[in-house]
Amino acid sequence: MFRMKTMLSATALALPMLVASVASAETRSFVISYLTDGNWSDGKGDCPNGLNMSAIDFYRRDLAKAGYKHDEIEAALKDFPGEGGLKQPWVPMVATRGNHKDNVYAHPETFPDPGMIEVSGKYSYGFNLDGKGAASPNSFEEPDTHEKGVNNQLYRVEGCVRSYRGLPPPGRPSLPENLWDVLRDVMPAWLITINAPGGFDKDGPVSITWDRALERITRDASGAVAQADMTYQIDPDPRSHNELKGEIKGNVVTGASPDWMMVLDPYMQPDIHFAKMHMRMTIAADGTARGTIGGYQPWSTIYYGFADQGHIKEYAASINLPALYYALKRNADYDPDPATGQNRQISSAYQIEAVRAFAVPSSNRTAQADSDSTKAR
Amino acid sequence: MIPINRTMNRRRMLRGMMGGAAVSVGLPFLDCFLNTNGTALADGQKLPVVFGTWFWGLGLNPGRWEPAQPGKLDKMNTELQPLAAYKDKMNVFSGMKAFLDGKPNGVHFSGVQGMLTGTVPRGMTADKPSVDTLIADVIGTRTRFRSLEACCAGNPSHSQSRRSGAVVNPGEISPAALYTRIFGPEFTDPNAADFKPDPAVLVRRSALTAVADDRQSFEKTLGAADKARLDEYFTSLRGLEQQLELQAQKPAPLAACTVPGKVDESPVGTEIEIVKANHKLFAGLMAHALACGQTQVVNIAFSDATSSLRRAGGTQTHHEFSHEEPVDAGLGYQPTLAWFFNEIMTSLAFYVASLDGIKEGDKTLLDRCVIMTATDLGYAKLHGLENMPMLTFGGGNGRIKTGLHVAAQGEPTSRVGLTLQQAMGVPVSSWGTDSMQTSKTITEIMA
Amino acid sequence: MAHVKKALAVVALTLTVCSTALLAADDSKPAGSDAVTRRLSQEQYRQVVSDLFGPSIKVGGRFEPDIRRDGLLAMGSAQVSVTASGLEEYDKIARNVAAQVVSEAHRDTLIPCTPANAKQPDDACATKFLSETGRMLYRRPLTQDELGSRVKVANDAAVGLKDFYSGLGIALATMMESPKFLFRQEIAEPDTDHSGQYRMEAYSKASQLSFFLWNAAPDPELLAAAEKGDLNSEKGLAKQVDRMIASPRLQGGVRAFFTDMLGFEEFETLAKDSMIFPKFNTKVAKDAQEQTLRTITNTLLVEKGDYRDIFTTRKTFLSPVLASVYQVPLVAPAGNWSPYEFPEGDPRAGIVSQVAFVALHSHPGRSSPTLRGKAVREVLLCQKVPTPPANVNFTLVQDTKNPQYKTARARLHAHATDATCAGCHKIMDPIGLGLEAFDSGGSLRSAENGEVLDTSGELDGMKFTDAAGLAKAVHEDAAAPACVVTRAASYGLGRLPSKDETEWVKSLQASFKDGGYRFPALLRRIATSPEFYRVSPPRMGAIEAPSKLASQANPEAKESQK
Repeated sequence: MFRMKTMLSATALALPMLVASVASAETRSFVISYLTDGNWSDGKGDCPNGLNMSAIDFYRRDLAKAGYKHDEIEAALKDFPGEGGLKQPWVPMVATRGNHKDNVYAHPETFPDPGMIEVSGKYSYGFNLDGKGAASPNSFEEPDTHEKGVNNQLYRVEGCVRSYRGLPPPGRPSLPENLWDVLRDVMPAWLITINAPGGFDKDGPVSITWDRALERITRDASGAVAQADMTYQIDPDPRSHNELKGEIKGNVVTGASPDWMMVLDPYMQPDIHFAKMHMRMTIAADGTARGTIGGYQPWSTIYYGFADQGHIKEYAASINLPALYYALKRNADYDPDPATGQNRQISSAYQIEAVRAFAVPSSNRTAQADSDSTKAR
Repeated sequence: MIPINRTMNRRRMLRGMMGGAAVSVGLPFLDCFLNTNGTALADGQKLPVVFGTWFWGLGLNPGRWEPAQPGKLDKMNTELQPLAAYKDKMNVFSGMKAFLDGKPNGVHFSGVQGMLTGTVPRGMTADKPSVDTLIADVIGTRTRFRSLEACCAGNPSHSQSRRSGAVVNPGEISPAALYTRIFGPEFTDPNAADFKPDPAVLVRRSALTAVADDRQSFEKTLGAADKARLDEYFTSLRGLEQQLELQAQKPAPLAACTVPGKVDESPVGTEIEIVKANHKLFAGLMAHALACGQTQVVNIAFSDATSSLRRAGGTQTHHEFSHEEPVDAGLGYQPTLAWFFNEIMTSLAFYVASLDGIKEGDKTLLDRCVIMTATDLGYAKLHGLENMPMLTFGGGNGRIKTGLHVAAQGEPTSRVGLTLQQAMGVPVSSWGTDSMQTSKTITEIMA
Repeated sequence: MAHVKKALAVVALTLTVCSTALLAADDSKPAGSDAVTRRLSQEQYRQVVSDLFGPSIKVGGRFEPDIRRDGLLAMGSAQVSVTASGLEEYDKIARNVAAQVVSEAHRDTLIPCTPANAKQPDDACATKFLSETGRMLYRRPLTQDELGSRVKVANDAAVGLKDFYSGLGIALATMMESPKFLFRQEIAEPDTDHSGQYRMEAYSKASQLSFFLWNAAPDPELLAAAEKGDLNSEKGLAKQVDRMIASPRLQGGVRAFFTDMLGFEEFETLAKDSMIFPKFNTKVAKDAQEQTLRTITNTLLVEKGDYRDIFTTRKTFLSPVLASVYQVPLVAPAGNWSPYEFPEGDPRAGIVSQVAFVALHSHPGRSSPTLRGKAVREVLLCQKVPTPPANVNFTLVQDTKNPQYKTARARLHAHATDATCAGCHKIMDPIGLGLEAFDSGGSLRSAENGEVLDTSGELDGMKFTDAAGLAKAVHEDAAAPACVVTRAASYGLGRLPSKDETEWVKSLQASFKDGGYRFPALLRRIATSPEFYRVSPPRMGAIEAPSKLASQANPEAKESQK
């Protein structure tokens, strides 16, 4: 019922009759309601070695390593974290804990690697990016599809940080959920449009596009998720336009692209730029969708996404930034620098949740021909 | 004099009351204002008596609330269990009914009208004043507000308080708005060290005379029915004049009066968690308003008579369950209904606790109150008007006895209204119409 | 069985559109009903402030609720008074408005004179302001006494507060609390054209006309016409009526009428469960009303169409959130309204299928064929449905999870086998079942609990298979236009037409039909009928009509105003 109406409303206001040969093809659009780090957890198997310590504890440790005396450290951390921004006495101490001079967030290698407790469990969301399957070193098994050879080193790095640890489904890791929740009210929405030439009821090939919208998301009455069936205009900016080939099997849509990018926001990171992007999305009967996107992305983008907020991110997320830096560097698994051999990209994955939307060409900016669907309004 | 600390800790205390179990609000006790026993004001006056009503819809499950024996209230039956802690300060009346005398049963209406006005109307339009307004006319004439009304389920028309005519005294639906109305810029703290009458208040008081003077020329052109309607307007005007007069005078100090912390805007609706949350805020505000002498008559409607309360995600309201849920063969009653009643009685207990939590000498605020509950039905499933539950809380400065169960099988509910009016000093020997008319005071509770 | 017959007989009687009792016209007995005294509604209060002091003056506070009587708030306004907390609020609102009017930001534009000394009273300036403003507030010139009393208030207050403007503000506030402002009076005078009869005097006529057509107090031009006696001549009255109907302000009046008739104030307390209907929020509720009002004014005023077409038109207006409820794509300019036309045959035709109707007449968690059928009967067809009896057995009616009865139709059918219930439900449910395609939030659906919906039904013999068919049935029902005529007359009168006025109402209904059901023409006919201004003779002795009093009063009242 709904699908037919989409067809009717979107293209046929001026043409009450449908052309027979087009009748079986279907297009559906979605707007991303949630985007969170794809960190799996069942509460025990993922971090058998425990979780990374919280900020006050690693500051104590790091400041001692940096040469501060016990009394100095305790005095500085007395009302941790305290109010009033830079007035906190511990801030300049931790910010230069490498060599008492340079900003450690911009120069993490001034501080020796304090180490990071990494994920050592069996399961992770994500995709077999290197094609090696089970033979891929450091790979995981997908918890739902049981595909082996999943590459997700980003999860390995951050999955045992308390605020980034996954929660049993349908839970989302808490800080990523929080960040996205703030972000989606201020940034343009992300849209996915799927065109199935044979319809969504039949297995077959599909073409998928990802775009940013001109509008921000609208929340529904519960406030938690996006309102379904809202109309978004597609931002013609090519930076966030991606075309993928994929297929639909049952109610699962998969797709891939060698190069994929979406502009995000510096509150998380400025953009996500995947090499060897993969996606998988399951469409439920009520029209909502859940799934995973993944690929290799430059780990420096991830690092600086944290580091540009320095001590604030460090203590709010309880994530030791130099440790993160070293861990990302160590676990990066793609795209070696020809000069040094250091891998510049890291495998990663994100969980997405989406609701139905209408994605229409933006009326006054594009030269796109088919604006009939907007004319009648 | 010890200044009362009106900072954060008061707000936290009030919030503490909201957050969950009733917390006894221990407040500093200023000896210099009280007599040697601490039970009355230093100039010999007793702290004023308070009357209130508390309304909920759909009665209770018959057989599950009536105490076993008449006489001393010993053990509480299941559905009144949330009120067990107050058995010595409350009375339970069972067996009373509303008489229709052949009039059609205006469902969710006739019963509560009978209980609160003594009259079961012929149609669905009420015309008699409710008992709280009759009592307010006697005890409410010297306070800033003649009475205060609050409606916890988001609709001002849920109020059951009416002076006359078709329209109720609307209840506040927003606790934040009620806070501003009572404790906002026009509040005069009875315990403030210095008092200077605001010249604006004097000017406004004097200006209102011109409005009162409009009466003569306005009424000249009115028919008799309209005259009666406009009488209410002019009564309201007198009330406003009186408010201003009081604001212009230095109020008597009240030891137990503290200004609560500012109340923030809260969501409003019929979902039971929201109603309970707003009720808690209203309960706290009313208790403080009473302790600060702002009024002596308080009316709270937990919901409308039809009880549109519902649970989040549920398609059915309390009302619909009352008709559609079958009586459980094993249990012998409607279980979901029992769940709602438990929520309602627990909220009532919170209100009583709020009043009992304010210490006044060796007594509490509750001790000088008489809070009368009201409901619309005795057996909701069939809109039955038999055996309608009635409770009172507080002894009203010793005017009525407490801790009793009065079983008054087949008697009209108006007996309670008559008795309480008499206890409050309303000169009435007989109240109600048709079979609801009664002159039989409930002597068991008269002091 | 007799029980059932009685119920059916009651039903049959209440279904008749209007009373058939006819009284022979008797010229010797004065016609007309007793005067009604109506309290200003919240909307009217706000309109007066906006018209008089401009839209930048904020009106804040809680207004006493209006009540609905005999289907209209306009009639309830003749029954309400002002409670103690209500007056407290009016006092607050009035002082707040007055404070803004005399504030530095506004005094230069709103007060036509300057005091000699701003820290002291100035009777001359106070008199000028209070008489001009008072004339607009009381909707007639002030008497000598009235003006004098308020000038004295301004003087005393200025002394007490040591400030002219504060004093003036207090005086202005007391005018806005006066019953002479808050209540509309109908003052009777002998009708010079029909001896023995009484009519409303000129200023009462002006108010009657102005609140009817524009839902506002008379504007300066109308007051001037009243003053000159123009409203007592057919030509003079017609001139004002035509001016007001041609004005863009007619739209506000028509919107106010339909807002009342369709019961939109219920939206304030409408709750939908946000877990079951996540799309429904206050914005949707607000936009839904706007959608229906725009649909109506577009059909009746812009397209000057047939009244009945509001039930079948596919043309409407949507906002982005409404588009999401209707599940259609919509790019509206700057996030606001866009015209939208549903395709031929779409069940979403006419106001009965719109969110403002189907969502308003539903429960928080599910739809209700009974509530919707009842609303069609009572709101659109003016047919009264008897109240349900007290001892109803609701055993299985709406257990939405009952696997045996998956749809509302199934549940109500099982219930409607009880003869005592069937009598009334027969006149409601078959209508409402046609709207089952719309869930409680107003969205279209084709199945409930997995079972495909059967949306067939009937309205007084006209059968249909879906909501578009129901819309057509309402369109064809003679009761619908007859109903809006009765409502419009009652709305303007503030009461139900009396037995003597039955002929008049019938003639309005006939000419409405003959003229193709044009709504502005109906309004014109009502506003130019002598019946609209007739009142019974006053009860309490001789009364000075304000127009007479005014001419004895200050000459300032006669000057042409702003």
